[in-house]
Amino acid sequence: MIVARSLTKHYQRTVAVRDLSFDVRPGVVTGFLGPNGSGKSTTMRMIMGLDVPTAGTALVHGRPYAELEWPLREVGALLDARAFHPGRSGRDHLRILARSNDIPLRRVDEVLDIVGLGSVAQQRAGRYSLGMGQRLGIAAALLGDPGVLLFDEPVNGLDPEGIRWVRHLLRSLAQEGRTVFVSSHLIAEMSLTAQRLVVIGRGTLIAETTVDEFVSRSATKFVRVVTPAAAEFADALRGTGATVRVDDDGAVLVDGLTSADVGRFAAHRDFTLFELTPVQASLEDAFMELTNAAVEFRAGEPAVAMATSSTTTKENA
Amino acid sequence: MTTLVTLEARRTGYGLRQAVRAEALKLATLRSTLWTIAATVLGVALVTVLVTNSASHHPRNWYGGWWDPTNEALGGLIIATLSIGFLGVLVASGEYGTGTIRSSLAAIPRRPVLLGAKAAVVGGLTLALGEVLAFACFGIGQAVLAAGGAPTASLGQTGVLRAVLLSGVFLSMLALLGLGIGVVVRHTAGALATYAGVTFLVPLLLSRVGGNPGRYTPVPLLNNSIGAVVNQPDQVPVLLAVALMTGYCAVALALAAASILRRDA
Repeated sequence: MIVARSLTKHYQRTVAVRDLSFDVRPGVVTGFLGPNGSGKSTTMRMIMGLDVPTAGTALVHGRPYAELEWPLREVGALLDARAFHPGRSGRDHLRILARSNDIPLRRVDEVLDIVGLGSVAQQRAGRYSLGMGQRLGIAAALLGDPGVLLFDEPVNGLDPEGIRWVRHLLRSLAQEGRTVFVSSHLIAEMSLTAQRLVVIGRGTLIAETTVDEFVSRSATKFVRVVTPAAAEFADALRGTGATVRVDDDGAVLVDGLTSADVGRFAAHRDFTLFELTPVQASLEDAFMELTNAAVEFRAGEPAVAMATSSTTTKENA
Repeated sequence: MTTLVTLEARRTGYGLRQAVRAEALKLATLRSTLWTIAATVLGVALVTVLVTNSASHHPRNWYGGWWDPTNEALGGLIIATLSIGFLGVLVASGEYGTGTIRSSLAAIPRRPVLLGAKAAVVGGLTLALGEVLAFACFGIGQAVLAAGGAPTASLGQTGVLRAVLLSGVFLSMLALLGLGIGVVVRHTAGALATYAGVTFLVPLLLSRVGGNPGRYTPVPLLNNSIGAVVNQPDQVPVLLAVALMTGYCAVALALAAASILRRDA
């Protein structure tokens, strides 16, 4: 269980995170979603006690990170892929971490096997590819067999096989009853991995919900109809008060009616339909819709300073 | 204070013991540590031979009031004042530069414990190295001087053992000074430059000022006071020299503690 309450972080004149409160529960993968620069990494560093919040608290198991008795046995974290010395072997990096928290040495070889680095464990970590570095970071997170896991952009630099592996790993860790908190700016990836979501934009909370709820909340849901008489069908539908658009490729897009309603209407008026498809918004659509105004670095717009941003962000939240 | 101590004793979980064991393994698993030590030993031996050999060819100095065979031999430690200080700097700046500091603080989040463990390991290793170097310097130096026919010193003479022992201690204090600078400056290049500036450039600049305040800085204190048996020009009393160096270390480590506690990692 991770609990954030009114987390706020100022860097000189910019606000990285503002009044952020959320819970991360055990047993499910919670995705931490937001555009680049929205404060995800800063939030994770505050949970880990690496950055001191300007205001607010972040608690793990009800305690600040710094008060944990055996931190690596309670929390595992992959915060950045290169948090190791390039001159040291991957195995030595893990041996050092194991010693610091009285973790038995055999666990080092166990996690090296889990992440598939067993064969290169004796090589200097500086020679590792980005993906191998990521795997070493994941091994370090798993080292203490912790109940709480944080991963910041874990699939960065991984090949497709590695990405699938991480997806499985995160889900199985959650199924074992652990608290799993994963940040990503890759929305499609999140929709495959996470069950719950904490969505932020410009350092403020946009949504804390399940993936399903987040998607269904989005307004972009419509019925796509392909018919040889597109123009007439659209006009007829408009007569009923529905919102109708005709797509570039001639498909009719109907808002505000279910596919059953549209099908019955077509049968009733003798329209021939080639295609009748209810189109659900993707997580990506929902995300874009909700964060559109909250994106930190829109083209032509400078990063917002503290003095001016409070009003704009409130409107979006 | 008593409450603090009992609280600490009752606390379960990791502590200084685990942190020290991890820090020791960190040093042992980096090739740069071994290279630095090897280069220091060779460099010190070489410079000691050169310095004492040169002195043994200038018989006119042997019978002046300032002839100090102990001080001549310990002159070889000048190389170690730089490399051992760098060792201290790198223990800290190497972690900040590579991002390892975030792994370290995730494992040991109580920052004074991490800094204390680093100081203990750096101090312990360099104390052992410093003593080995100081005694080796003295032995090699006296052998070279004797071969050149110059008057030599022995450890049994008044003040000689003190000079050799304290020179080793001084080297480990220079490493702690470097560690403090490394934690505060964080960037390796900047921290190395700061250390070299404080230990070599500052005394050079200050030596041009009236009264030569440069003699109160770390390296001149080692060369002219700690490592001297016979009165040298610009000598500072030994007790004052030790007090000053302890003070410099304390200030550097206090700044490091403030920096590691207050700043984001």
